[in-house]
Amino acid sequence: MLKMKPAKVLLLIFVFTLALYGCSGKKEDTNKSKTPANENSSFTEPTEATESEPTYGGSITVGITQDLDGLDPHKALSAGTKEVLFNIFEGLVKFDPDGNLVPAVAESYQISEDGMVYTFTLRENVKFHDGRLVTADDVVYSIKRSAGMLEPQDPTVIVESALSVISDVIATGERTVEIRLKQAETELLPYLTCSIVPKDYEGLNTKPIGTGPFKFVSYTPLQSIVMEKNEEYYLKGVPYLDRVTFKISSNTDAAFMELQAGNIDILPYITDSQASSLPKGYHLESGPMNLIQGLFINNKVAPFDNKLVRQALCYAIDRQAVIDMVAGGRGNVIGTNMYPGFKKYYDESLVNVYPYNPEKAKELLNEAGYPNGFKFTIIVPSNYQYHVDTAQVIVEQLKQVGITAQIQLIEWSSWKSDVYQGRNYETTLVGLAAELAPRKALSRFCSDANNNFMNYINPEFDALYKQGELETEEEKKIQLYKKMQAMLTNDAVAVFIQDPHQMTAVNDKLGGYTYYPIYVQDMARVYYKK
Amino acid sequence: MKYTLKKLATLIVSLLITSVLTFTAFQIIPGDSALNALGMDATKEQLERYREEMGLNKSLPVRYINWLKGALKGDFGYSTQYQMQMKVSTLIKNRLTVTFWLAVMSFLLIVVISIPLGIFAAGKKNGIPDSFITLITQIFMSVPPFFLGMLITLIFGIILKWFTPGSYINPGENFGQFLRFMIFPAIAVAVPKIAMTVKFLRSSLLREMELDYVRTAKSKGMTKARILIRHILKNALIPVITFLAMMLADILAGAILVEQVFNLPGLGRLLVSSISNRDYAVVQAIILYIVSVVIIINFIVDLIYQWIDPRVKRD
Repeated sequence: MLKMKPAKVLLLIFVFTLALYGCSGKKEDTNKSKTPANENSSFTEPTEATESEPTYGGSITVGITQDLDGLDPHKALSAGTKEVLFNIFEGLVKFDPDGNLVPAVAESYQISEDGMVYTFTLRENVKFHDGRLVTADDVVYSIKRSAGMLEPQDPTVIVESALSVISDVIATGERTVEIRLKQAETELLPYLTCSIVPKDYEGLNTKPIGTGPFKFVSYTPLQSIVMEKNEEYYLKGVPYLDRVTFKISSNTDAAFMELQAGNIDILPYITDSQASSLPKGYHLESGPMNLIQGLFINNKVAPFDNKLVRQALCYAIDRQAVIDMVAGGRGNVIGTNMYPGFKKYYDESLVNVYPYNPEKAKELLNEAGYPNGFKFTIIVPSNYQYHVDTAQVIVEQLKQVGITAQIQLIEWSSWKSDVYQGRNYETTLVGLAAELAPRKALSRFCSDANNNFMNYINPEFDALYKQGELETEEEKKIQLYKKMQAMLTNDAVAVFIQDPHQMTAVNDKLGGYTYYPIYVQDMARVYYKK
Repeated sequence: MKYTLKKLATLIVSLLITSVLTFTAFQIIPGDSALNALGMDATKEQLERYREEMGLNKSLPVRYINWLKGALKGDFGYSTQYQMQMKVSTLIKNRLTVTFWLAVMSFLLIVVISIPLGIFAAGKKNGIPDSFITLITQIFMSVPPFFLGMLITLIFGIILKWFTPGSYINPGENFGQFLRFMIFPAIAVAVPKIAMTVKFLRSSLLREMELDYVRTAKSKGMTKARILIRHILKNALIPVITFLAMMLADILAGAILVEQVFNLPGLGRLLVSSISNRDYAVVQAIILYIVSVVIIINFIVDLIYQWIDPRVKRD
């Protein structure tokens, strides 16, 4: 047997450690898809971007930094996959760039007076990519599949819990589908964006077939997914491009290098430093990310079980300074746990509840019995450099009021099981991605919620939430939601920091790149300028 | 024959031991594969159902035996990071093409460049060319391949535009283009290893030169070059072959960082993403592959020893 030299062993260990350390760059997961829901009962057609004159044809390459976790839209979990599949699949309704729900496979819908039955009329002549007409049976099958109502149940389908309120889905005609509910639900519509797939089609994993503006061509793991124009798309005039390739890079640095070499036309989620060194021929576009970045606190452990301590933290952190230092000022300060994209529901005034005031923070600490400050740990998932940077700024700021914070980096997988599920932490700095409906931003604060990882317990809040769930009148609901947000802010359940901006490098020849309040890369609107 | 059988038995036992170790290691690493597959907000019931379906809630020995049964038939199960939609064996097989060609090309570079260079350096011991080579090897030895990869990308890719960074082409599509692209990562992998091999070969040769048989040969009136090639090289090569073999095993196991830099869809990239996604099935299979490569190469090296130096067999 040959012996390995100790130096060689060391080298291998070193290389391996580096590999494990440096290469886990995944943006995904916290960034589940999200969106402002909008309960307009009347649909509006999407508005066309009208910057410069679009031309038809051409092909582009979009850089993504994470492999797809599947092609079956009901099995894909990561936001990085969903934002790509958005181009291939559609639901009964879909989101437009303003967060409104617009008709997709459905042409119109009605909700019964008691809110228990949704009736959808399908568009005439919507075809799957294989040329088959979409029937009511396909819709029934697709919704039941996403809701986990098919027997036998496939455990790898990611069941959308919001659809559990459905008691039955029935095809009442060739083009009409009735969705019956167990109880009245006013925030169901956003979840009916779930993809419509052909009934009993076995090939979704390998050759996905949907109704979207682009048809699937090929997929090679770790390399690329290619799609081409759906000539028979029901909306006339889109898409513009003939072919779109999503190229999978191992990380943002590798992707950016390809952009510099001119291989990539559109690269989303670039970093602040990349944004300031864009090569010639590219420009920067940016928009809100709809992410609640915050220092989330375990409200159950000492000293954070004391509200005064939590409030002191809020006063001690200068959120604008954080944004300036970490993101070059690209981000909006937020004050509560609601995604700013839900404009109607979001209470902007709460931003000003805790202005930066270290003196006040010291006072509160004194009152709480910690005149000399205390020590605690901030857990940060190591793959999110943005959050790590933010945590470092916060550690410095907290020193000013005598609090010693130390950062503990943790692997993303462990974060999910230990911090999020296990709730074994003091504080953690991450971003919570927006969900499809505004209520989801609040549901995690219910005392008995499965995902109440901050251990917030407040019977008053629970009561308000119950009320909000049953309220069908829009105005009253908004009031209730705002009350809940104010309660979270006043209880200082966490230090809400910002909604960061996302930045995308776009080839100067291209127009029509559009930001959505949900995570999508809509290629149907992108075109080559004349 | 007996020798070969003995080596074969070692191979199988080593594979079994490593498979048990990796299987257990994943029990110690924190992180839950059900949670990774179903998302952060999955309910306890959903997680339970998933574990049940995938056999994750069975005891460790039972799961190991189930896995072993499949593995013996070449079935390593499905990859969880692709939501159970992709076979582990297919995933690895496709990645191997890249890693294989990268290994072949860089290994060729190493052998072709380092052996003549090492002999040359040893021949001119302490002369100016030798000092120069020693200096250069010292420098390149200490440059990590991924950094070299970045430099190569910057210089040849972005400034000189000899190749387009990241424009990897499938060998099936255009084999010539594929090789053309692969030469750059192969250089990045090879250069530090060439430096190491040169240094190693040089010192091995110099060690041999001190020995008695060299003096004997010299006194018999043989030329320096002839002694070097005919006598010393043969003996000096044995440790170098071991060294080269370990390098080959190392490259075949996936040039993890270089693959990241050049955006190659190779084994190393698959391993990294599988570890961070807690994709046990894939990691398990890749580790078994790496272990087999190391053991099999050792085995081949042992055979080569016998061929070069029949004295080895007698031990």
